[in-house]
Amino acid sequence: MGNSSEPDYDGALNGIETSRERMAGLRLFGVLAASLVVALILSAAVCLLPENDYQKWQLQDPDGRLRWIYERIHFDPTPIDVAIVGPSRAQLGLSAAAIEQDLAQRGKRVNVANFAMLGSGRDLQWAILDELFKAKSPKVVVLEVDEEPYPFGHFLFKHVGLTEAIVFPPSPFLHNYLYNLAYLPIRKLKLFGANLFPGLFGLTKEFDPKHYAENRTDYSTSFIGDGKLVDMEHRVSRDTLLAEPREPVPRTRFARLLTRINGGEDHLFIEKIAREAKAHGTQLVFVHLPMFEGPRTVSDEDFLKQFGPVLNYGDLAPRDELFENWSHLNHAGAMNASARLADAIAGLKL
Amino acid sequence: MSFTSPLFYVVLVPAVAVFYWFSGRWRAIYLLALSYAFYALSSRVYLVLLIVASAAVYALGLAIAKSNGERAKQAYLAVGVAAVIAVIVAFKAAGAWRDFLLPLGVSFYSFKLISYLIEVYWDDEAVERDPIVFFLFPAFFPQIISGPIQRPEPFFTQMRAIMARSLNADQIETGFRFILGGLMMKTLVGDRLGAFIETIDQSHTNYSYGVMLTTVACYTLQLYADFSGYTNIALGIGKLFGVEGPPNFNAPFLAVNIQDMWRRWHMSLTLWLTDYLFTPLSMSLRDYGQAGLIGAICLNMIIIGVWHGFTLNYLVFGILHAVFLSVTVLILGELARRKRAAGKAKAPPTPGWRPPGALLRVLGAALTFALMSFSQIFFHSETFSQATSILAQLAGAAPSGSTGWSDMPAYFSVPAWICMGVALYVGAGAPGARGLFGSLNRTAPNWLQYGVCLFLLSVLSTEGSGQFIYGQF
Amino acid sequence: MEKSEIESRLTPIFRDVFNDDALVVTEGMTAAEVPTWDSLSNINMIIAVEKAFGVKFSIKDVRNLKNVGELLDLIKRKAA
Repeated sequence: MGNSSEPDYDGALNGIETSRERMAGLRLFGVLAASLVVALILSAAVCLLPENDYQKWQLQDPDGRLRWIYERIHFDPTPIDVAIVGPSRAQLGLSAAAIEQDLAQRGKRVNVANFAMLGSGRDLQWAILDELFKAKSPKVVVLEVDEEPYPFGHFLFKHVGLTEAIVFPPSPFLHNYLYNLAYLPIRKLKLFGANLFPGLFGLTKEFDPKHYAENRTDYSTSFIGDGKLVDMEHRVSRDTLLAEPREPVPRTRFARLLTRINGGEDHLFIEKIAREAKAHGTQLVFVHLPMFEGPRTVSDEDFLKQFGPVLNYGDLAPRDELFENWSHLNHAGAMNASARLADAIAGLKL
Repeated sequence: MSFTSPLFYVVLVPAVAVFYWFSGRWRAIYLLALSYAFYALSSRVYLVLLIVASAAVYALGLAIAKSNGERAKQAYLAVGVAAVIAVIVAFKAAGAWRDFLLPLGVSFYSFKLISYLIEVYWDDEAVERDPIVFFLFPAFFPQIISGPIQRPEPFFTQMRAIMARSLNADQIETGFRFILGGLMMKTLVGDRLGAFIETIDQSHTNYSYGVMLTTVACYTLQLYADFSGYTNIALGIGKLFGVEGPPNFNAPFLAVNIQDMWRRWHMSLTLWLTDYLFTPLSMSLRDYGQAGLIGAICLNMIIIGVWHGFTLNYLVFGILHAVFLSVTVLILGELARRKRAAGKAKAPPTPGWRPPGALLRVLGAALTFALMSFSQIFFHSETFSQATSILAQLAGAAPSGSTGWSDMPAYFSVPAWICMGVALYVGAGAPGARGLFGSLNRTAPNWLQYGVCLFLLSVLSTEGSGQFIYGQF
Repeated sequence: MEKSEIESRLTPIFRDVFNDDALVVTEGMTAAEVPTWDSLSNINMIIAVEKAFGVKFSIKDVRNLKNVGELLDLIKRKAA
């Protein structure tokens, strides 16, 4: 019931104006949505492209460790009886050659390969072991464990993780899920191009034995890393070690929330590793290499025990003569840890 | 938040939707809050500075418009301009001396504030009484990080218009296109060239003369790709909110001399300096003839240099352009004089071959590009010693290395050459592109084109740019 | 002085400063229409006009000119 007998033309026109505006806005939104859909479809389509595995393992760095690991697994006929995976603590702190020598003296011929590399993240270690099981039959797999499980995935996993593993991870709430997923189309296109023009992309398809032989396999002696000398022989004073800044693991509120939801990425991938190891009849062994003056206990030891023995070398923590920096053992420390590990391996029923 | 991070756009889309959900004055209030929130992400302390500076200039603007005497107006103007300049100088000096983090966009918003005061001084009608509209002017977030430097009047007019009118779908779609194009230029071309240049710069003495020469040309190409891409993103985001901003580039590689180049490069800055520094200065110096003009030119160019930072490199850049421009103006002036004298005397055309106009233009453009790149050695280098070291190598005073183009892996040099080609083509006005786009628009619908561009953006960007940084999580 | 007279006296000045002998000065003409009319030649034009008509402009006078017609008005005002 209106007051005026005049029809409300202005109101009607305003109504048309706003509805036209709304239509225009919706149409625009439609165009935007359609563009996103096109981009997503193209990205998904690209993810279906095949990959050359050897080239994939060169993505991180054509002269990098991942390439060497792939070559050791697929092109080197020497068997691998014991494989070690872990972060750089295990790369520097365990010597495959020393363990082999030790076991040889006990009359056991064992081939040991140390596949530990810089950066934490159990997903990359799972990817390495997954690749290992394709070509070799290791009897023992040694996983380095820290005092606290690392909450995130490895920043290099995006390069070598299987497509299915990246698109359908054990939990959709992994911290790096979107990060890895966003990289997948890039990697697929790059590998597609590299398959056609290896030289142009710097990713070779031919195995070069000379290049392979030049790789350093043992990091328990001094080496050049990132242009700097990592001196494994020189004794570092206690004070220097204590004064070094310790890099904290970034834990934002959101990161902690994700960890609570996904139950801990480290454990998710250890479970995957354990399943594969069991299927191949491989023993799992966990080794704890501590930080200098760091905690001597492994916080998730109870979880790990169900999959294999936990060798806790936490007693090394206060021994400053065995450390090269706050988180890495030096040569003496590596020899110590390697001897103990060799002892433990010798005791396993293989 | 960076205009190249995906997270920014995830937030931007709903932010724009909310903007149009509001109507009337609420749009401006919302936009101001949004701009301040954006600024606060960078620094809350400097946000206070921005607000205080805006408030001071707002008050001074009202004071200038209200006062009747010329002396009073001049006094308010002088106080305002001096205060803002003092702030810029203080921060730039601190930045040069102590490697201090400057307030976000201080060089840009301070110039906006100065231009407002000067405009009000010249014309009382230019005053802006609405505080919301005024405070938006220096704070408008699409333009705050790196410009372009818009003038007060077009901004105020558009703000009032957007408060009154409905959304313009075409403008918003154009904005989206600008953002897409700008992102492609910046991340696919600019960032990639930047990575190439950085690798060469780190050990430039290892590389051959030819490589170094090309790399120096790259300084100009990379800066163009990066900055023009960035400007287009900024203009595009502005269009999403109904604001058309001023352009910064107009096919700079077509410039036939340095004077022409500065009419096509970082235009919003050069026009600002022309209107507020050069013109008044050259007017006051006009009794000193040629010397006065050259003096005004030199001061103008030196200020363009040090506006970027109070370092020796930027100063040298400014001085170089002061020299280039002065010489150009003198030569062109002399040539024009001779031509007019010849014309007046109605002398027959000089015998002999005269180079065709087109050839002269090409040579002029090449020379201009060379001069620009030469000055870029100083503009681009981190330190003065780096600049002189590169210069020495190019002059032959220092030895070049042996690594030539053929010694570099294809996956390193080929993308660089492609990017150089694209930057040069676009910077020269993209001849023939219009026809190409015309036929493209007839065959493929807009959403398909945008989708392909989005796809290319996500797969072709270099490792660093555009990816989620997982530390953020 | 009439505007038409000012306009005719302005023509040779413009042709000289902007280096275009075919230039036709009209009231609606703006700087945008003349390729050689930029900030530098503008100053030269101001100087030449001041000399020719014996006047002195202030920056405020010159700043607000939108086209040649307004310049003619300005000259007429100043020369009176």
